Amino acid sequence: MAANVRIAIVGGGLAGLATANALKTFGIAAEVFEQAPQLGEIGAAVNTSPQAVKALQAIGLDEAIAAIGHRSPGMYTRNMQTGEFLEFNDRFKLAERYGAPYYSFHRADLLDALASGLDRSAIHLGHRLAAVEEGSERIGLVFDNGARVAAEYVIGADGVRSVLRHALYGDDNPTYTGQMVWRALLDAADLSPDILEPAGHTQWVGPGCHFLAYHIRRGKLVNIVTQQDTDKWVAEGWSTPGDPQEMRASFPNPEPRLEKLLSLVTKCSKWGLFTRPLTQNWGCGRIQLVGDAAHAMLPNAGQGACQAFEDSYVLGRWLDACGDPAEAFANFRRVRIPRVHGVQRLSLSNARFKHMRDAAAQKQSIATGTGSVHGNSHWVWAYDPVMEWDKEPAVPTAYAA
Amino acid sequence: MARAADNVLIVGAGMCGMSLGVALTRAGIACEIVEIRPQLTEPGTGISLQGPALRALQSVGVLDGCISRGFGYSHFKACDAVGNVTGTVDLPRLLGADYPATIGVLRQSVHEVLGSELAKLGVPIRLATTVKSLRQDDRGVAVEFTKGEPARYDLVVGADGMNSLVRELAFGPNQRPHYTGQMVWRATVSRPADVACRHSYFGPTNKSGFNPISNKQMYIYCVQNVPERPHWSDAELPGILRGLLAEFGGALGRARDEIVSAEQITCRPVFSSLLPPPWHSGRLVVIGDAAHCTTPHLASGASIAIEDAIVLARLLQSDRPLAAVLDDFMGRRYERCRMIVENSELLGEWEKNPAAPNQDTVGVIAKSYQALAKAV
Repeated sequence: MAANVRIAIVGGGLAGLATANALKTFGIAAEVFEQAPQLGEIGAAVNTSPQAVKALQAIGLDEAIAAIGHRSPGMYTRNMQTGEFLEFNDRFKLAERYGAPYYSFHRADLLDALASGLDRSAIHLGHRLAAVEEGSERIGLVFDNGARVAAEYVIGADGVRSVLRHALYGDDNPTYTGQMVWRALLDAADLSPDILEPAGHTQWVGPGCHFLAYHIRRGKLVNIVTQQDTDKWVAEGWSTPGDPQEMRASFPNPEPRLEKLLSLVTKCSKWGLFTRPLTQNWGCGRIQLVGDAAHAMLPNAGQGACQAFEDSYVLGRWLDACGDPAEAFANFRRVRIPRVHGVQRLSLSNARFKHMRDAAAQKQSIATGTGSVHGNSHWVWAYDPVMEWDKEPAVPTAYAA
Repeated sequence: MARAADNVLIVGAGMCGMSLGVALTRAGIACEIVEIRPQLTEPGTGISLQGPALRALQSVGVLDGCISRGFGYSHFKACDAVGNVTGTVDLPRLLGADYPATIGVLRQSVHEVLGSELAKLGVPIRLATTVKSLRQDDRGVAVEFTKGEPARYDLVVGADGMNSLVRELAFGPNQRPHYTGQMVWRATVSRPADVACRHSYFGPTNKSGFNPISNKQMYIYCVQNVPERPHWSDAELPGILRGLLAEFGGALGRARDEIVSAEQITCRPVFSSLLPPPWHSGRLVVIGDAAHCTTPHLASGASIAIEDAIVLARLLQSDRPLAAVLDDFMGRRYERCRMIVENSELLGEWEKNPAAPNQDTVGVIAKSYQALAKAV
């Protein structure tokens, strides 16, 4: 196949499909190229805070996501060893305050919803990008399967190990963050209700680690995702099958609820977290990067996917407003980079606070209002992409450059 | 590049020997460990690890594991005999605001953390085995073991505690620690929810107190003056300890009533010794308690033992001759360890002789901790 397209979106993950939906909303045609033979991904969960839900609503997905999103009453944070209550993040109140719900999704469900609004013939599966040839008028995309596409404009939504990013900036490979993750998915029916009391959504924080468990798929499944500081990530890949015994040993001395929950894990996987330093390198000219390709971040602000969804709406809106896509890309970067950098800094600082080795000082800090496992996130949630898409965003001094 | 040693035998799998095993392996120096006990850990009571020890464990890379098994705190409370708090003292946070100043932890938990680190790194450990003979020539040490085949090493490190066999083989039998005339008691009991830091009780005749070591447990400690080294049977221990604690009330008084079985208790004679320099002889070197066995009065024995391991592993990476490296090691370690051993013993002497002149307990403690706060 050799084809000419106006706008190519490389990557059919959350960022790529959301961008395709956004472009469709503004009547802009685009073709999506995805490396996998089918849509869908290994099952992690995704959380979307109100401002990201507004972005998804604005690109026509309101009903589709409402049908599959689980609404948690909020995250209940406990000390990992004592079980002591530290902090409750009331998601119903947040939804009321910011005018949109806070959802938890199974990642595969969300991808399905994102794909449901798209013309499947414009999604090309089995296209792994191999090389990029930059011409003056068009960008040549060469795929592993032999296909060649000449695109006037390219949106790179191809993840943290983006091929487009590599073509533009060479070896700025993502580096291991010193954080590793355990993931597991449990059948909610196997859990006695006391384990995740009182909200069905608990975060345990301990020295150098935290442990999160919450309902997804309308309460049928419980998603477990943990994080711990460790310099030991030696595996070649990102994800390897894990040993439940080793997972349990990573959380020694757990309080009884967590101990019970850990005892139910029979299958788990192990991930290394990779990011790159904050960068202005988000694309140039005819190429624009979005989502993790532009701004991979640690998951500690729950904003990795959310920022990709904001990207999608804001990018679509700028493409609608500007005659020249390259000009739209430049405007997109101008308004998005400072905000996303702020979110990346928030995520880093949350990891540090959640993983404090001094439990007494952490508790004191939360009790006196000087610290929180969520950092100061209100500026993130309060943003309205529809109203503020063209505004220079406000980032609190603590997270500003 | 040739290094001072490429192949090291560590005798003893205590905190010091295991820390050395981890540090050497991380530095790419091959080592193996022999341990005379049939298992790595043994039941025992708690230990309090202060800033310098936490820093040392951090540098070995096992601090988080220890903190998560233990109980962190950053102040201690001084109490009268019945538990009224007479003062609260902030402890220095050597590792910054995110870390507690001190942790209490079961000794065996620290062993477990180090043991699992060694297993991950693939360091061979032979249990129920020690050395039988050590024969040095100009290229190495030929070692015979109590079990298994003989082998050769570039260096043999005795991290085998106060009754060190390596020390005896290298320096003769006359370097054994001496009994100081005190017995130290520790007993594991449950932690009341409101005990969140170390408490020291000052009674009319005895000093005692407790340290939290986990969410569920704490340990009581008490130092007793006994001029002649006693030999008590296990059955006597609970009664003797309860007697020592009879003068106390408050939380300590309540905890005393939980002491019912010898299994909760360790009662150890307090020893002290400082091996005269150098601590090495050819390709043999002793570190930790084998070289400097300190009394518990500054709670710093583990700190200086683990520091020994870190400094030795760091120096062995150099390309200088082994003899020069070991001289350098002595230069860096002797003064610091001497200070801790002598000041700890001095504090014990003052406890035994309250009427002795020129006592400055607070000053000696402050000076010692100040010196120990400096990085190695």
